[in-house]
Amino acid sequence: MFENLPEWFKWAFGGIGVSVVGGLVYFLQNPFNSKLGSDSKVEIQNNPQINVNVNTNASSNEVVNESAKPVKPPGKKKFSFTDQAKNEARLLFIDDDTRFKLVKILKEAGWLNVEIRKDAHVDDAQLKSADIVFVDIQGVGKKMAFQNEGLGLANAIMDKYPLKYVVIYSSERNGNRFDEIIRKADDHLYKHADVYTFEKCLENLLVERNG
Amino acid sequence: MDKTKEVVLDIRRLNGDLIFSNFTPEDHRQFEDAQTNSRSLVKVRTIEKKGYKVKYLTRDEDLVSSNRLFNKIIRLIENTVDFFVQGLVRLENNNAQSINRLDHNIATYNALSLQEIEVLIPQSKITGKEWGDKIKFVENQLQKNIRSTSETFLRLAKYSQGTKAELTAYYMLINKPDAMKFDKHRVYQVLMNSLHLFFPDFNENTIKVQMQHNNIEAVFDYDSVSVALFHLLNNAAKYCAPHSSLEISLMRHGNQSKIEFSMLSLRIDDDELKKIFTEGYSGKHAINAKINGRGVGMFVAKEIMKLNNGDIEIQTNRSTNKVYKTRVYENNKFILTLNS
Repeated sequence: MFENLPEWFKWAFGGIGVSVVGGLVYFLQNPFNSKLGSDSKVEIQNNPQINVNVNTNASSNEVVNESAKPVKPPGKKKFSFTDQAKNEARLLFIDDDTRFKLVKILKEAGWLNVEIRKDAHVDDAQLKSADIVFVDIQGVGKKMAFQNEGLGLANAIMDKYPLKYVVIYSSERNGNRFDEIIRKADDHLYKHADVYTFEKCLENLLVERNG
Repeated sequence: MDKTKEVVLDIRRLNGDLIFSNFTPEDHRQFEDAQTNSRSLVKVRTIEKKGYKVKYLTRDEDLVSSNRLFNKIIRLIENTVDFFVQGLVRLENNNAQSINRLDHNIATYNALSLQEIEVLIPQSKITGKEWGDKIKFVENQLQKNIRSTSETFLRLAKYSQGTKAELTAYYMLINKPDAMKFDKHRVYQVLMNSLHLFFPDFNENTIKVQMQHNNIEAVFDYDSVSVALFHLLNNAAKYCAPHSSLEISLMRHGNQSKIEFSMLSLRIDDDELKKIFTEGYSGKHAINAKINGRGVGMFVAKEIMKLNNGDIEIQTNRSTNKVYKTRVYENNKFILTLNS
């Protein structure tokens, strides 16, 4: 359905947008039609009433402000394009709730290598091969007997594999963001954040942005 | 501190609810005793203020022996106590208001979700089925109504997002920047994430949505700005004239990004341009048309935008005045600004 659409549109409808809205729009029998004009003006009609007009030449001043994210140490793996990242990056979630739907949603969104496991030891092969590890604060780290559960495990992973990305997440909305281990991690997220937020985090960490 | 030199207080609402107390059980007993026993070793006083009552008790010998001195001490404490109680009451009222708003809006979204499901899968029909037949029954219902099932799912997505918007607004407005996470986002993508939820609403009212794409990026907190967008789009879906257009443009000038929503929507009178952003205020024309909400959306959207170093402003165009089914519509622009 989206094969002929430009890259930005696939991105715009990445994540849950593809899996939920794409499917439903299909049911509504109003498929998106894309027409690429010679002047790069794209018109996408998703419904007789809703038009999205796109001008890829639209000029915009570059954003000068930098994101508040800390600068990553050199040497961490980067991917040139989002699709390449989606195809190649190996993501591992460590979460005692292995039914955590995000894993399935990310797979639906095109991230080909996403795994989840209940717990992990720093020497586990699956962990060794992962590029980015998401660690739930609660309910994990038991295998290595960490009293501070996921935080202890995340800390051990960061110490053993400084070139891996480690993201800590929690179902507590107001976790202690001043915790030393949380600050040491590449990012920290609310477990029930939108899929967009998780994908944004992945993009920030993994994708080499031009300019 | 020497306990015998203290003045202790017990502050309660007039209905007896406790606000603050450093009375011990013994203080309470002695307070009661002092009311009737003139030879009591403690001195007590009760002062009633607007909305609350304070009991004072002291064992300090100088104060016990001198009414003048005790009254002077109480007068000194009184203003501080009043400042403290009024601040506390304000805080409680704000919290109660936030919780009421959250409770009402979440209950509404939940009820709407249940109704949507009820329409597709009537409870009266499913409860009579044998246990093993229930899933088959649901399967048949969904297959029979594939179009309305699809619309229902989009509505459920909107109601879930609405619930999330309410919870996010509650956390943001209570906890403020603690819960915010500033990052650089593609504004177009963030808009699209919210816009698709309103697909059935715009479709139902034959409102054409036109959106100009470009690659503008801005730094903001995604969750909270999504709340502002949700409320703006919700209002647009409610107040746009049927068979009209909603045009969304993204602009960037220097360090400022703007998202402009232009629409033919219910008139906003001059005296309402500021009021519309105060909590509990609903537009006169929305009230007349009996489609007003609780006057929360624009208030929350503005507060949220301010937390993101942004703002919302409204521009009206009186020359475009149109009347449709007794409702007055004008071209209105809602402009979201992000300064980053």
